[in-house]
Amino acid sequence: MRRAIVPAGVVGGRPAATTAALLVAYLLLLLVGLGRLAATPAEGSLHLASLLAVSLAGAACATLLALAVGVPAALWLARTPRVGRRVITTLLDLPTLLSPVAVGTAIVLSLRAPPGSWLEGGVGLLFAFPGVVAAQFTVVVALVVRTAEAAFAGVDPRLERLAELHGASRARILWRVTLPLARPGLLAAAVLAFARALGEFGATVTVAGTLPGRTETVATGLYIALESGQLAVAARLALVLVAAAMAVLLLLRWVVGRPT
Amino acid sequence: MAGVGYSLAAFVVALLPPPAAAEEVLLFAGAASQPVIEEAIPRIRQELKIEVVPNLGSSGALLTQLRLTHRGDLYVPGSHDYLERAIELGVVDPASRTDLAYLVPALLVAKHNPKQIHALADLLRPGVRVALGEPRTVCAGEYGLRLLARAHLETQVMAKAGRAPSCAAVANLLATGAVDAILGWEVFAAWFPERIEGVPLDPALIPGVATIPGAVTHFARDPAAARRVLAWLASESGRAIWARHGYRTAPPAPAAGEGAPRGAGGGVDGDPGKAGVPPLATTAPLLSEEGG
Repeated sequence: MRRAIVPAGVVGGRPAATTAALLVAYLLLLLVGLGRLAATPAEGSLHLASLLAVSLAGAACATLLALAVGVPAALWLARTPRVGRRVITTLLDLPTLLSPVAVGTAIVLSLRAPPGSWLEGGVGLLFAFPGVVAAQFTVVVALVVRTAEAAFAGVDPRLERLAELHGASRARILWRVTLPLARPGLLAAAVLAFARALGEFGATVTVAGTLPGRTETVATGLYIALESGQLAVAARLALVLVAAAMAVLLLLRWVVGRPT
Repeated sequence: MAGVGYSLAAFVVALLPPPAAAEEVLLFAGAASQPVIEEAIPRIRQELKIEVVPNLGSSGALLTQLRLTHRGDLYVPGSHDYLERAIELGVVDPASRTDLAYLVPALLVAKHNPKQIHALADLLRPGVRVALGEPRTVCAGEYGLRLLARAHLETQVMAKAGRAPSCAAVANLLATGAVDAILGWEVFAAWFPERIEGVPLDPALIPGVATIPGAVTHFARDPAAARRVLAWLASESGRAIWARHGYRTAPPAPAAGEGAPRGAGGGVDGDPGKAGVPPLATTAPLLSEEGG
């Protein structure tokens, strides 16, 4: 892929560069603080394998579920500009804007009466692994819908019409034209959702608690370490989350930067 | 691909039921008790054949979870005020209340006391940064405020003191060097033995002792099993674990002539009849423990 040559702008210059440098220095300072604390002897135990297993499994399941539900919803939103669309998109955005603890509380309350109680009776979300998935799914699904919607909106509808004129079925157009063209955006949606789910805390802890080996994730483990005075453990877990976020961001850049 | 495979394998493992145990007790405990609970769980499994599954968090959030979900067999909050609230709300059986450990208000400073803080009045010196728990919501903060009131320093110190949202947050402020002194529980020094030390205070200033209690919930799946776990935590074996982590397992006696007030929700007033435990003395180690 050829890099575009960006001409020097008229505005910006040294003040903007200084601001950017200060921002980078500030963020590095945060990491150095965490690193220093993490390097001190740990006061408590660190069950990293167990925390990572639950975190990765929960985030993977929540992402797959969010893609399964969110991608068709995004396609519909991108292709059908109907009355009521604003109401629907506002509703879909709610979990993103609400405090995750409020989202978790809403999930818990919804499980107290039918149809939520049927779900609870059948699957068992409270203080169980499916609760981790449900909490993370609720928080990330809007992210998937919004990112995927933008990806579908970027697909030129004339290309789909052209394929239709050549006799392709709707399913074939979807698989051979729409989805391939939207692929970078859809992959970005998946990566972002996974990253957001990996660091999710408020909704997860409210619905699923912090049961070691069952529902305790890296993010909730970090909270417990802070609340129990295990500062070095907390710093190490924070660095794990930072490393995961960095990996996801690099992956995202690579995914989006690939030619379609 | 390896990551995906690992995730799927972990998912399957996470969905599998936990190893079979004769009985299972879901314990909602204040996060600060984690080291104690972690040490107690294998002992309880071995001696009682009961699998204790801990759900740790801040005591208030746990109480809300108990109310919303009606799950959880045993509630062991970080201080007695939360248990009193749980009793008021009909969440736990008051008859099952058992005090497990005692919390003594204290003045704590950084290790080796670099700012040379030897009394509450030193908190007023310029350049001394001080914090305590928010007195309206944090039990340790309420006791800290009373400590200051007894020294007639309440107004001046509170005018400069930072306020933290939880016990752990107060301790973390001192442990990370964000402040020079805190008013908290003496057990904080045991949480961070390399970073924090206590300043012995005049026993007459100690406004009373808080407790870490436990109680069985009204919706416990197996109340008998939950009671057995609670009894174990209060037994000699359990108390030894609390003591190992720096907690007092018997209240200190009050200073002569002091009828220390009870805490907001029923702390211990240092009943002189509970002899055998020395009062907090200016010459005694801050964490001297005789009762456990």
